[in-house]
This record gives sequence, C-alpha cells and structure tokens, in this order.
Amino acid sequence: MPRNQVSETVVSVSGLTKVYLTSTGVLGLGRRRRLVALDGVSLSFQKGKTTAIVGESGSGKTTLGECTLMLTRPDSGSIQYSGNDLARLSGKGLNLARRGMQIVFQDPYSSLNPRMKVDAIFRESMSDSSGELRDRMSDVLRSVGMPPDSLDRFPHQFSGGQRQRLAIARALMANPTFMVLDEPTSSLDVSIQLQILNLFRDLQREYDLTFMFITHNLAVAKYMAHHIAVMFSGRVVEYGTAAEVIEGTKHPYTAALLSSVPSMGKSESIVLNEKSDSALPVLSGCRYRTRCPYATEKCLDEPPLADIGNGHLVRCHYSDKMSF
Amino acid sequence: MPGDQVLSVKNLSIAYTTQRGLVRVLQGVSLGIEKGRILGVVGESGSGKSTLGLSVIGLLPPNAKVLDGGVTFHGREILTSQESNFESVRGTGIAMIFQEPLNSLNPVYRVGFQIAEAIRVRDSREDGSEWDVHDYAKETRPGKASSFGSVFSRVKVTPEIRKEIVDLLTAVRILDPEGVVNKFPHELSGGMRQRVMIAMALAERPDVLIADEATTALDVTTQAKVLSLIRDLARDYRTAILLISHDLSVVSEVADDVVVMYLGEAVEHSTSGAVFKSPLHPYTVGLLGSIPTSYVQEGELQPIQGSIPDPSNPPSGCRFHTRCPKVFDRCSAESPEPTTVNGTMVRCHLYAEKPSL
Repeated sequence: MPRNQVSETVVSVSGLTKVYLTSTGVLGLGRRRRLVALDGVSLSFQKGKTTAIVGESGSGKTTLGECTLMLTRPDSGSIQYSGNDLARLSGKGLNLARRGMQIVFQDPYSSLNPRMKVDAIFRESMSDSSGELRDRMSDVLRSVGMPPDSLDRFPHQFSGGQRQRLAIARALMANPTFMVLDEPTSSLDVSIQLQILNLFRDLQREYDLTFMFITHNLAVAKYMAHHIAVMFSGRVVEYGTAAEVIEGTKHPYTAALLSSVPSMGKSESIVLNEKSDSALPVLSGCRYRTRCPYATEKCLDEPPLADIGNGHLVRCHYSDKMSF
Repeated sequence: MPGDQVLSVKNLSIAYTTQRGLVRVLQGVSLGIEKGRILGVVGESGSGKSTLGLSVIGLLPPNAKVLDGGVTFHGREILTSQESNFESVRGTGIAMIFQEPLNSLNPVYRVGFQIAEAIRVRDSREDGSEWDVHDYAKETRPGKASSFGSVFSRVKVTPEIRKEIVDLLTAVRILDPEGVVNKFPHELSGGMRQRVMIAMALAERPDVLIADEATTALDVTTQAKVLSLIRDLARDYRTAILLISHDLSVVSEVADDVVVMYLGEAVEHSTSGAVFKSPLHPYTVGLLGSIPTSYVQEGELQPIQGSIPDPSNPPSGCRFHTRCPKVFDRCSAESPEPTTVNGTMVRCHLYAEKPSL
C-alpha cells in the first residue's frame, strides 16, 4: 500500500479464501451448499496500529481472524508473518512461527478453563518457564488493572469484565506482537465495555502492539482503529483510514452500516435506505446488489476493489458518484 | 406525566427466594405507559429490567415474590403481593417479544400455522370459546408416523384467515408474505423471524407490547429496520410499548420516555429528550459518556469506574455510590428518595430537596 510515512508491516494476508460445505435436509443428505466465508481477502497490518474489521454476521470477519492465526486453515492464500508464510507451515513449525500471535475472544466465560487457577492458565501460554515467572505474571496483571493475588483464584470468582482482563493478560504473557481481538467487548455490560476498550488503547501504546479488531459496530471501530476494513459476504468492500471510511464513505453498504449506528439523540433518527433483508446469499456480481438502493444492470458484473486515491479502496462501480 | 395510562407499575418490589435467602431484584419501581408511546427501560446486568418486563405480563418464575406494590392494567389490578390475575389479559391485552426469536417460535410448525394460532387465541378471548390449535390452520402434524408429510405439507387455512395472516406479515414489512406463510422458522433470517414474532404479537391486537432486548441478537442494519417498525407500531396502532434494553443507543432511537435502572432501582425517569440531552443522575451521565458514537470526537472517553456490585448484596445507601464520581458522605449512609427536578425523576442526593425547617 503506498503510504508516505514509513510503516512496518507486521502481518499481511493475501488472497485468503475459505469455503465451507454445508449440507441441508434430513441427516445432511440434502443438497450440498458451498458457503464462501472468505473470498480473496488481502490486507496488511502495520506495527503499533489497529485495523478494524467491520461487518455483520456472515460477513466472514471472524473467519478472517481465525485464518490469519491459522486456527482455521484457509483453502488458498498466504499469511506473511515474521518472514514465514504461515499457510505453508503445519505442526511444530507453525506453532513456533506464530508464537507472537495471540487472540482474545468475545466470551470470557467460555475462554478461560474453569478448573484451572489463573496462575495455571497463565503458565499454559508461556513457552519457557523462567525463574521470575511469578514476578512477570504480577507485572502483566498490574498492566491490565488486576491485583496480583488474582493468580491464586479461579475464573468463576471474577466478573465478566475482570475475566476479559484476565484473558487479555493471558494473551500478553506470550509477549505478542500481533493480536486478534474478536468482538472483545460485545458480551460485557455497557459501563464495562469502555474500560476494556481504553485498556487496549493503553496496552497498544505501552507494548507497540498490532491489533486486528473485529467488531460489528462502526462507532467502536472508529474509536479504536487507525484503519477500517468493511467486509460483506466474505469480501472487503471498503478499506481506508478510519477518517476516510467514516467521513468520506464511498460504499453504499458502509453508509447503511453507519446510518444503523444509533446516534444517541445527536442527529436525525435512523434512515436506512436498503431494499430487503433477504437471507439468501448472492453468488455473482456485486454481492450487495440485492440490498443496494443504487444497484443497476452493471452491478451484475463484479466490481473490482479499486483504489480511489491515498489507498482508500472501494468495491463499487459507482464509487466516484457516491457521497453520503 | 398526564394522559391515558394503559399500564401502570406502582412502587413494585420483587424478591427471588434463593438458597442464600431473599434476594431483592426490584426496589420500589413506579412507571406508567400511555397509548401510542414508547417507554424505554435501560439497565445493565442485575438492574432488574427483565424482571420488570416479566412481572408486567405475569411470567415471573415460581420463586419470585411480590413484596410490595403492584401492576394495574386499564385501572384493574393484575399483580399484587396477594394475587396475580393475568389470564384475562395475556394474549390479548399484553403481548411480549423476546431476544431470540428462534427460541420463541416452534421449529416444527410453519410460520402461517403459528400466526393462525395467535389469531385463534385472540378470537377465543373475544368470544369466550374453547379452542384447539387446529381450528384455524392445518398442516400434517409432525411427530406422527408420517412426519415426512410435514416437510411437504402446506398450511391450509380459510381465505379470510389467510388474508389476515398475509396482512399481518405485510404490516411487519416482510417481502413475499404469501411465500413466508409456508416457511419454517429456520428458513428465515434473524430479522424476518423477529418480524414474524411481532406479527404474532400484533395478531392479538394488544394494548401493550413488551419488547425485551428484541433487537439485541440482530445485526445492526436489521436492528435499525426492526426499531423503525416498532416506532411505527406505536404510531399506527396506538400500541403502548415497553422497550427493555441494555443498549442506551437503541432506546435513544425510538423511546418517548426513558427509565434508567441500576441494581433494582429506577434512578432516573424522564422524557427521552431530557435524559439524553441533560442527564441528571451521575450513572446516566457516565453511561452516556462511555458509548463511542460515529460522530467526530477527540481524545479518550471516560468510562464509569469499577464493576457492577453483586445484586444479591447491594451497597448500603445509594446503590451507585461505590462507582460514583460525585460521591459524598451522605451517599453511603442514606438511600436517596426520588425527587423531581424540572419534570425529571431522579434518585440522587445531589438533587435532594433541602429539608424544610
């Protein structure tokens, strides 16, 4: 990506594709359907920056996170991280190569083993057990705002927000450079969500971390991210700096997402200009065309993800005419 | 607030019997809903907002105990500490939609059948007749030896009932209502399922509709559409709506009035405009300040400190004092009484009236 400032790419994925085969009918004997979760996604992640992946359920944003960490093996494409293509590795080699990558999940109730004390949970994510381990654990706990005596307690003794802090601390124990944050605040209470978002911002400054921040909420993406990638039906439909995507929106789907974010009485109510909410996936041309209010015949042809200047990428035939 | 109150909750206190004794979940909550208006109830976990919703439609779990106060519907008491009398209102007077429509719809019956059942319930209430689920609609019953039949069967109804079903589905803006009649719930998207739930609630022509986290499980774009549908229900059908949500921004979109709840108490109650433009209670101020919006904002937002206390063991005095940025001596000692400031009910010592001499 052409950028003026010198930025170091930590992770770059290119052409990531993942297709799931689903079966319908009694005992799965019915028709087989191909579900394209990722369709040639290419993105790069700059050191010390946050890239938000925004989309609704089924857009492929979680699959993108999983494939980037090779938790799910993509059907094709590459994942460049510290000199390796993770997609070509497996077993021990893969585990060694991705040691600096970590993930924080949405639900802190299911992501911490209820039968292990925090101390043991942390030890699991440490590759080498050095002498000052307890000290390091206490340091990391302090950096996520938890008291050191948390180590001798079980996950159920903590609230949801505290558990999420522990899950973050566990990820930090591995000294990561790149972290996937998959809806890390969606299951928390409103008054706790901002605490965790601010914690991520602090940690990023402190450790120069690179984040892939997966969310369905564009407002949260704007608060957290330097770059935003909007996904629809397994593809990136708009990518740019947070300011470009939010204030200079060029894709009708991004505009629909933006107008769906309730405005807390600060502006007009929601005006959503979409045609339908059909559950049927579109398999050719512009995938958004059945919902898009601006769709024409031309949209039966697939639009490319085109650079409209400054690295602002838009997948729409009419991006030059769109302003919202 | 003056007007035509359909439903009113007065000084309602509810506790659950648990192994650790009585746990109070609602503490002296009062509110009223008028025809055609939307009352938003906002709260986090442990605030008692869901218990409030359940108490209004008489679906409290068996271990719930009404300690004080009650609920009246059209001036008639339907819930008090002595008795509950919901049979006459449930299904016709008050309807409810829940968070996860897939759990609320029967997976083995087609949509048209389920809506016909709702219409039958309403008619039997109106004429007092006994009814059977198959009165208005038939499809091959699943569970029989011929269970494959239901896969191929269609909903069979009289033309009048079919027209009413299609009208209801059209009213909730489902595309292709004729086709949806013969669909199973799993064949619909989340937004469509919630629309079907709303259509079933509408079939009963309720005076009051309770929507408990009705858009929480939906995608943001779908949520926006369902919210605008709820807004139209209040306007076009004059339904009084109780919209319960953890999400302040959802409530801000559609509610006329707002109640903010914290650990079982209503801490602020006013018009939507007042609550969102000039909030009084420090909790409301904190909540409003901790939600990122898509508007231009610089710097870091300030979250509410601390975590939500255990609802079974709430702090003494004002329940919010452990997290309040404006806490002073009196807050931990004494529970604030509700006071009215410029038409807003607020429960906070900052606004307490000076004691008269």
